[in-house]
Amino acid sequence: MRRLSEAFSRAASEGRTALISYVMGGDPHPETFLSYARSVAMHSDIVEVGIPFSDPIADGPSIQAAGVRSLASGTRVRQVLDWCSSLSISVPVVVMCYYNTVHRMGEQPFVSELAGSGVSGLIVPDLPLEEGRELRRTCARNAVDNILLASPATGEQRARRIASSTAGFLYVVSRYGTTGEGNSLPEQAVGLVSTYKKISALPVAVGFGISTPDHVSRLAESGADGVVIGSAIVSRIGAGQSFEHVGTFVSALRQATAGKRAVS
Amino acid sequence: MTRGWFGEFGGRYVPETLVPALEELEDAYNRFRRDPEFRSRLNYYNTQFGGRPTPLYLAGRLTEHAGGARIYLKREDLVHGGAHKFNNVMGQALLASMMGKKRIIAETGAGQHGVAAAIAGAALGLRTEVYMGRKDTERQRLNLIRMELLGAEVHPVDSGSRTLKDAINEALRDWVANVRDTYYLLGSAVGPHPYPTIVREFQSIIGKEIRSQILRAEGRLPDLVVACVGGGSNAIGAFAPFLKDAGVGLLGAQAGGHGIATGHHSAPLVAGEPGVLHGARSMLLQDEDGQIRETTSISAGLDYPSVGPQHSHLLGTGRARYVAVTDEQAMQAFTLLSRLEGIIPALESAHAVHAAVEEARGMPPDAVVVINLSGRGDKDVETAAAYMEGKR
Repeated sequence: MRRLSEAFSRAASEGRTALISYVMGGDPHPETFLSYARSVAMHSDIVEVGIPFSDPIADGPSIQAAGVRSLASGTRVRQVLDWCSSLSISVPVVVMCYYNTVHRMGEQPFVSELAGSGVSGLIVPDLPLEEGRELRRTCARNAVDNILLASPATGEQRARRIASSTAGFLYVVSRYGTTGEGNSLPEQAVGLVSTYKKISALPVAVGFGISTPDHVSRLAESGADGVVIGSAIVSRIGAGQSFEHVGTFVSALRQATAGKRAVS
Repeated sequence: MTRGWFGEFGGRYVPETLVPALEELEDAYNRFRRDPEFRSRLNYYNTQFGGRPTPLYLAGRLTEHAGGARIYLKREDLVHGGAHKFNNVMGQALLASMMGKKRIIAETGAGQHGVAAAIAGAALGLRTEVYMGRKDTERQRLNLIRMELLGAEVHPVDSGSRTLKDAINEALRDWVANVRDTYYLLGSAVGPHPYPTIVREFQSIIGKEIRSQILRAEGRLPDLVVACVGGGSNAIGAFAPFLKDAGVGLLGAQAGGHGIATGHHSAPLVAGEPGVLHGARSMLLQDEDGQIRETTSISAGLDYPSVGPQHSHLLGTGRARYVAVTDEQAMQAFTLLSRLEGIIPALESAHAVHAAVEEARGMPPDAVVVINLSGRGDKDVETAAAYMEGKR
């Protein structure tokens, strides 16, 4: 069984939604990144590692700033893959990067590198269904799950095509807009979960704007198979919190993955 | 050719949230472009509001200076707003209005597209917001003031290199968040499908007019059409109606900045490699990891690391040639045209003037060269003064 599928099954068997935590590769600094990533990974079912890109159009201010910090200290793509290699020993790793990063190395070499680094999945937020056919085939050949995104703007027909083309899980974008923390859970998030649960044979994970244990708990109760937390973690790293403090925050998110039972 | 592709360039590399909006735009464009009401309204705005057709002017003293081919200037500097940007903006703003959108957003580099968007927004009663790199708000301050006078709200962008590329990033982020009621009025022949095609079609009025005007003046087609290429909208508009005329040479002038050898330039068609930025696969200035390189040009409107995908295709097929013109050469052409012809060109257009004079010099006297003079240079006088001050 593939590692992502295994991670969702394990969380489900424990009555939880899977916690997918995002960190930006090389943030806050290449020398301290792994300490942060490990303390996040310790409480997470899956870790998503971003490869910093100079022009991240799908990201809001927190993750943009993380990319700037990482690039300013000279992070290279191959370094991030090396880090993924270390992390993947203890936790399933998903890489998130923009398409030019893949294109620059070439789809086949890039995916081979991912597989060689023990990476389980790949998310490319600026590669929609139509332009991603070849990459999906390449990923499938290399046992890397190419995870597709669906958004509130996606119509029903298209949503079905996305759901049947994704691998590993289906990533549901909870709202219109870029990544980033929100004060309240995006209104449509809970509705989107039930819509996509009906059409997806694979686990459904929700991301964008999910930032507190309460959000996680409510999504767990809505039946989401996974929740993705990015900016809320990354902004704590950006604010200079120690990796222990960041770990404590992720641990609180983890507590909430069982819904209200765990919060009370 | 596959929809939205120019050979191996183009495509639609955007977040999923934007895909339905791009499909809606494509459908609306295909519907309205043939719609008699749309065509007649656009024609009215182009002629009575924009001042089209623009003249094709024989630049006698510039011709004499070059000592070769006869040089004509296509006077896009005389269009309302002061640049060719009006052609695209009026078409798209009208489209936005007929699609029922109430708010338009735009990016701008030199500010000419932002000004044109503000003009169209005012004329059609659409709320207009413009993203502009902080660095560009400083070096093109006049246009910042013009936009505000015209009632547009300008958002300075502080991310990245604080220039056009970053303004596009920010506009795309705004669009992702507000796509339900907002029309993204992209200003050049770049971006995801269908923008490169839509912008080319609205700008093709330039080439169509050149064609009929030069036939009237010379009784034949030109030997060479020259235009500056940043994103490449004025160039593709001038080139498109001549693509099938093998005898008409097409030359694009890119921003050579401090010189290609220094690495400080904005000339992906001269020194770039294929990559994906802002929704399209095209020639791109990038490092080994695919990070986008910072670009350099004295002209804000050419300061961009990629280029419209159709230009990359024309380069690949050899149908058009592209050269790099340095800041210094552009400044010389800027003064040259001002003094010889009484026309102060935009710094962007000055790149084309330099390239054209170089070409015309080696051509026989009965040859004909047309320069697309894409804009006027009022916005650039402070930059020019500072540059000349620095040279002293």
